[in-house]
Amino acid sequence: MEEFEKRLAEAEYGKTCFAKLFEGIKLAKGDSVVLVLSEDEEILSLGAKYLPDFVKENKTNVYVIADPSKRCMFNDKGAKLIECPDKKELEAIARYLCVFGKNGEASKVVIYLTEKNTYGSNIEELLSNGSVNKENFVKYGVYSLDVNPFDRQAKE
Amino acid sequence: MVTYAQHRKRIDEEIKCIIASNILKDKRVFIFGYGILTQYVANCLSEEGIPIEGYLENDSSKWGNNMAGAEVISPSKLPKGEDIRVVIYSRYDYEMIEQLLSENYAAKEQIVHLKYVKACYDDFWMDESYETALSEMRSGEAIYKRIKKEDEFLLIATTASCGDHYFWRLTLDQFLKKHGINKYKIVVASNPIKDVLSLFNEEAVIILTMEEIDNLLRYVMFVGESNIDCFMIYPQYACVRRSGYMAMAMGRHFEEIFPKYVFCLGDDYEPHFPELNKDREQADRIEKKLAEIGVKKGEGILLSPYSNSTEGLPKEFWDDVAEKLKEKGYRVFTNVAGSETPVDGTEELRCSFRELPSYLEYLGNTIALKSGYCEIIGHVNCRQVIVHREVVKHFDAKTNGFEQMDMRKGNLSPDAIQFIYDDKDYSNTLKEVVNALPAL
Repeated sequence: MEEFEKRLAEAEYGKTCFAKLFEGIKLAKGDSVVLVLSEDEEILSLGAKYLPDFVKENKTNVYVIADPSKRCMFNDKGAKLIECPDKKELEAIARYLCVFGKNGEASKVVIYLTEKNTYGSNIEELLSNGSVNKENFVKYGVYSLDVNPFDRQAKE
Repeated sequence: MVTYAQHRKRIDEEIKCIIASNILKDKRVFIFGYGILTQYVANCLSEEGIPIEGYLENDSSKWGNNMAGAEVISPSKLPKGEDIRVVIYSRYDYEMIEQLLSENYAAKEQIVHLKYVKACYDDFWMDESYETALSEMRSGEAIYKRIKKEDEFLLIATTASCGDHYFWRLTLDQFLKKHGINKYKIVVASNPIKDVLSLFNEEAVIILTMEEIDNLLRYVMFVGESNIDCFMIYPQYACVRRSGYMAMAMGRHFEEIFPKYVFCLGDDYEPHFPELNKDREQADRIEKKLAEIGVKKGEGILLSPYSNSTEGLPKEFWDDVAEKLKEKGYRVFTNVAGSETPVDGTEELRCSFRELPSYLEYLGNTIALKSGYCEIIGHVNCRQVIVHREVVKHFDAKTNGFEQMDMRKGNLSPDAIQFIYDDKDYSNTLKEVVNALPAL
């Protein structure tokens, strides 16, 4: 089976899983979904650290889908936590949401807390060659937190 | 689920209806909102022979800007008159209509409401959207199979800015070498971009429509670049590749973005600038043409006031620049493309990027708003005066216009004379710019 067909099948499965998780929840205009896929402790901890800023910037509901082991990290950050205990389901949901691709991401409907592939093939390389540190990746790469250049200079 | 291509398609359809109905014929037309989509509306209308008199905008920081001769003004400054029409294509369409009516800026019959393609967040999760996305991906797959041969690598380069294409091409050879790529094809979205790549003698360039590119990208992102020998040279759009956005937000210089953050070449990269104006036959032809219309070598100036990706400067600024330079004895031209119009009192110059160096080396001088034009002409042998915006907004990231786009850095334009535009009092910038050129 071609990679495309394999991924489509996985997306179909993810669609069902997503519908199950969001049963009874009506997503409204501007709501965001943060999908926690990383297993890197530092990325996860930075993801939790900057989540309140992301929630504040978006001013709408932010849902975090994560496995239960991440509950303590992402609890009480202003987002609604939705637990997905099955890693395979979580990955299938990511594949499903990837079908919507750039539109989903551009409108901040879906963001992926992961350093793997979802933002193009070069993110892992940038992190490993030191061009980007994990903090900047999470702030700007994942949450797209906006920064006024003059504020940034003042901080630096 | 709305792509730029879908917006354009909708705008094209709506404009057809407008033209057929004649509702804008012989009217003074304003557009509410000043952004990429409304500029597209303006271009479409201009191409149909309907000039745009101005843009209405609630954001006061944009007032006074100018795009192809149309000024950005507050809605409260909309002239009165039965022949005034306001065209609206915006996600805030109903709020805009409400504002125009409640403030008595315009009457209902003066408003031309183009039906906006809503970004259907509410419908985002519906099966219909999912099915549409799947069908677009399949269409992308078909395009991929049509254009890519098995032994080729596909580079998809789709930003709107011509300058970006010049930038990434400077270090492409190192990226290809790093990945052992010998045979490749480049996908772009327009002829001007192909024109930029021709400076580097690129021949394997395919032009697709934006809709085709959107579908192709959707497919590539879903399947994964590395699985199908593709690479997306598309740094800013958060949705496609976050690296460019990150680099800008981190305050990195523009010159670093492609080699370091897109191609991942680390610090070990060296741009290879193209050899410009090497076509003697072309240079002779252009010199002859300019001499025939009485332009003396070194006594001309090419103004470049337009940009696809940066807010323009006020019309008055350029009008005054042109006037002062003419007083100094220069022949003043404006570089225009598409529906752009020359600055008042200047002569129009339309040419390809390939011809541009020949024109500039004869004229001897150029004054430009910092845009892709500046990168492309950076190594041309002429006096280059560049005016920067203090802050430039690129998609979601704001950049410090001068710090991050200083043309002297990275040897982009080694002798550029640069100024930051004074938003509060443009006469200061006017003086600086005019004084940078000697009297003849």
